[in-house]
Amino acid sequence: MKKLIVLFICFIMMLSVSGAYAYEEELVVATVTVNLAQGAVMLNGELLVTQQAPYVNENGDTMIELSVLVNALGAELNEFEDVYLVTVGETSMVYRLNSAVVEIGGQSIAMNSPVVLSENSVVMVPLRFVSEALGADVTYDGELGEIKIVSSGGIDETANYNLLFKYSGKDKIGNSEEYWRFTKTDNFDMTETYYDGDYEFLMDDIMMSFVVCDKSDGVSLEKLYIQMQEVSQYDRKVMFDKGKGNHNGTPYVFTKLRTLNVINERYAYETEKYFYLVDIERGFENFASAKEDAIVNTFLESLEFDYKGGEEDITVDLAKAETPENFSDEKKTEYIDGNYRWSVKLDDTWEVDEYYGFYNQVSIYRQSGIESDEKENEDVYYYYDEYEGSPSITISTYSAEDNQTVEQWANKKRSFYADYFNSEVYVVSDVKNVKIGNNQAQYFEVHYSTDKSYVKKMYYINGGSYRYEIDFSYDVREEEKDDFLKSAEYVICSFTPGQIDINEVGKTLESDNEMEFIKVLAEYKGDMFTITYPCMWQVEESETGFSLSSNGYGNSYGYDMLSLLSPQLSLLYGVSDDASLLIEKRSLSYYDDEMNQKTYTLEEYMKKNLAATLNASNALLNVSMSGEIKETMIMGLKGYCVELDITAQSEETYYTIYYLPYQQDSIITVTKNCGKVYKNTIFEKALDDVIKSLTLS
Amino acid sequence: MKKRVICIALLLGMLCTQNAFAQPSVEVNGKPIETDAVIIDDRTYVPLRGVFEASGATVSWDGENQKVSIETLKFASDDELIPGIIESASPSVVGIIGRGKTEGYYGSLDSIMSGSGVIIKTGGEILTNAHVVKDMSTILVVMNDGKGYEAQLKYIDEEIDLAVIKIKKIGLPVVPFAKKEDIVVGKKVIAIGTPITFSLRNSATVGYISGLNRSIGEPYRLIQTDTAITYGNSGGALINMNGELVGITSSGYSGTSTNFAIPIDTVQYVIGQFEKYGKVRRPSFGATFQEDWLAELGIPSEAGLTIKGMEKTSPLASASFKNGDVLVSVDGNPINSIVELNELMKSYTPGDKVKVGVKTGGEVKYAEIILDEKISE
Repeated sequence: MKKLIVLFICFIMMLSVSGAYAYEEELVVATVTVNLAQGAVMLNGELLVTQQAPYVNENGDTMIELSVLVNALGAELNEFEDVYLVTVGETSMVYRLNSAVVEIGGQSIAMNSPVVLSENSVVMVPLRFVSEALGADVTYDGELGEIKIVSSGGIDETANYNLLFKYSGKDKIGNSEEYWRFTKTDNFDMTETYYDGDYEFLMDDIMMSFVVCDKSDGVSLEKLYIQMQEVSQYDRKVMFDKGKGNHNGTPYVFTKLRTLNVINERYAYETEKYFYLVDIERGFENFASAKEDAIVNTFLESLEFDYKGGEEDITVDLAKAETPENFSDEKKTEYIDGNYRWSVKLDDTWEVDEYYGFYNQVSIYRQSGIESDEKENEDVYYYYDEYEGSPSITISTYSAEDNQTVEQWANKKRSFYADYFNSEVYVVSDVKNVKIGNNQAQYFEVHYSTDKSYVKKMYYINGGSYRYEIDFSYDVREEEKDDFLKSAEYVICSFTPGQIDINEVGKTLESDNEMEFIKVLAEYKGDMFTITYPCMWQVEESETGFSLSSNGYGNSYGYDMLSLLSPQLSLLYGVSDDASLLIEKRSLSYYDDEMNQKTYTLEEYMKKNLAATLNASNALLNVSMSGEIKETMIMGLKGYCVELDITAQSEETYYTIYYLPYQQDSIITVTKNCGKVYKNTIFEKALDDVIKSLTLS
Repeated sequence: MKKRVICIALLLGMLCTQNAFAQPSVEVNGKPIETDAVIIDDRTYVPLRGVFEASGATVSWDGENQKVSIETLKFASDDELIPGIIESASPSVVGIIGRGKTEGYYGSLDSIMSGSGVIIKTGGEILTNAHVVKDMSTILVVMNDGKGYEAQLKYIDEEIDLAVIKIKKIGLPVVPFAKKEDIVVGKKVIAIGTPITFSLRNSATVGYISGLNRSIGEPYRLIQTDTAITYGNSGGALINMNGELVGITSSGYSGTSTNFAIPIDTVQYVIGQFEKYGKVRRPSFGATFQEDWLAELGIPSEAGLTIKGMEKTSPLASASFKNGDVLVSVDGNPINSIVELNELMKSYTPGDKVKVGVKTGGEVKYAEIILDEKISE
């Protein structure tokens, strides 16, 4: 018996060697369909010739001709007396006649049914077991009485951890100022911190920190190497590896230190300009894991130094921008802004959205078709609130009365963006010269520092009496559309400043300065009143009147506090540090305790109202009258005027309330609210001007 | 001796019909062995060496004295046995690691998840817990030797918490399945899996089967064991001292020695359903049932199951039973808990006819109904 086994093993070895050597059998992509009722076996839809139809045996197993099945799936079959050897690559399976035991890869595995000879001496095997052993999928369709054997072919021979750590070109992380970057594996979130010149990245729980130092400090790689090996007694670290190497032409040194549970790997890279010091710290548990090794190795391998800043010079000389070929003449249109201040040429892919108000902006939009991914770009939205998901070219016109040069203006705006935006998150390029049409212009660009998913290109042009700002914002995915940049450049390039004098237009334009805005007035005609007010302010109408505030934020903290502390004080609408005005019509009718309708006189109403207001004082809120009740005359109505100081927490507000008789049983109250910061400023004066402008409609 | 046996076999082959030629199959310790056994005059003749060697004895032949000596081993102690069992079973237990489909609260950092699996088919099919793989977008199987292969989800049943994934690899070592009868309280078992972190993959812990048929709010019966089963062990193998799979480790009360495994009979039922239908087809009564409160606490109850939320199309409704009636038996089997019902239903398929006993208005009525199919979400 033993002899036989030895002989048999020799035979298997011989066969498997010759099999692998001579044939290099590979599994094929195949679909074998077995129809039990018809006894048919199909390979990829074509009927196969069988000597014995498949059948279901007494165990409920479907039996199929061994040679037919094995050939269909692309494996190699060798027979030796009653032994059948199925070979695929390096794997061999030994089936034996009348035996349910199979030897696969040195292991004996029991099948449900044995290999048998059919009546006409055909070797029959259990279909499912043999198919599945060859890596095929077996499905049974009870309704059709059909069995499907699907072999996807091929066998994975390589370990592939990269499945978990896919590279993605978009995840280049780096610092453009100090010229380094690396590729992040996209399966791991990374936290980036910048503190005092050091960058730190937390990937999984691996801490990687970056320090860049100047070479002019007289440091050498050798010195660093020695420093790196110094282990302080306090740390209780043990060095277990050190060495030198070369990373894509950049020489480096490294040391590896550990305590019982922490590993530190320190690397120092030397380039022409800088030393880059990298420290990677991780827990010992992770040190033993292949997953974490892969992250660290990916990080180290992907390091790039001296890559000249991540941002390619994207300046285009717009004077050279050619008319895109696909713009036929009939599609071209010209857009001239309402006051003939400027014009652009458009093709019909762009739409114009005019906004005449304070900003004198005209936005030119293009349908995007790119879905905005709000979740992903949450912070981008915060800063790029003008983007709104469509590429846009927004042209704002300002007065040039302040005599700034366009360079000064562009630099001022650039510093605004640079100061206002978190520099770690946003990159604001330097101001550069560009030509727009025949005009010299200034240009800078703002985009997200990690990628350029949103780009804002700002152009500044002087044009006689005006200054123009062109804000071109878009999602970088738009660039993938062939004609997008061409088309947008064409629009911008076609920008032509108007040649019309301010006086001809008949309206003063705002300079790009908030203090100046207030001078531009607008008229509001309500049901009861007409006022003239600074055009940047907002008018809000209510049932009883309207309010006017210097910004759109309306109720601020002070008001909320006040209304919480004292509900009856809510008549003092809008305690805030803004400057605002509330004009209301109030009824003098009231019901007394016996439910008789009565009417206050103007004086009674005022006294009651004032008493309630003053009564609201408490520990947190102080309301006091400054001065006496004065007589006043507004809109030809003779009434009273009261001044109040209100301090709620730290908010100091000054109120002036006018009580004016109006019609039979009502009065008009005009409440001027002026926060401390606006007291005696242009804003308070503007409010007074608005009150003076009040006329009854 | 060998020659003589072969001669006899040939002789028999010539004389007898094919039926008589059939060799008896011989199993040693449940493992079939390759023999040239024959039956002559109702007595089974087997080669001495093959059988004894398979049972662990050493056989030596003294040619001079024509003497066969057989030396059986002493009973091996656990210390001798366990390392061998772990060594032979470990190649069949794999680590499963993947990235979650959805980002976790702290970003994709915490969306790397891992578990264990057991190779059940030499052609690449791996059994694991459904909860290990259901939320993975890429499934990576890491073999005992550290090699990793991408796997595809093939079948899944969340109710029993089992799934089959498949890698493109053949000739893999498999663990033989134990018999249901071998799962006995007090027997020693070994859990092999990937507890806590992936770097601990293929670690083994030894314990006992400490209870059977325990249900902890689970719809099916489980094996209770004191082997340490932790988070990443999920989907790993619970192996008996014959090196056979008795269950798939599933869940536990973290930090305690009360842990659970899905028993092999349930595993086999699920695999059978997967192979036949691609999913587990469960019969349905078209109604939900309310357990008696004793049953809910796990205390034996004889109160039956109260019928609740019966659908209009329910087979129970067609037999004119109504909500509030109590199901007490199915085909003569008394039913007192949902687990009992689920376990019984494993031997039925939708469309089967069953005789239900339902207590309605104080008396038990019997009716034959045809089981619906439960639609899984």
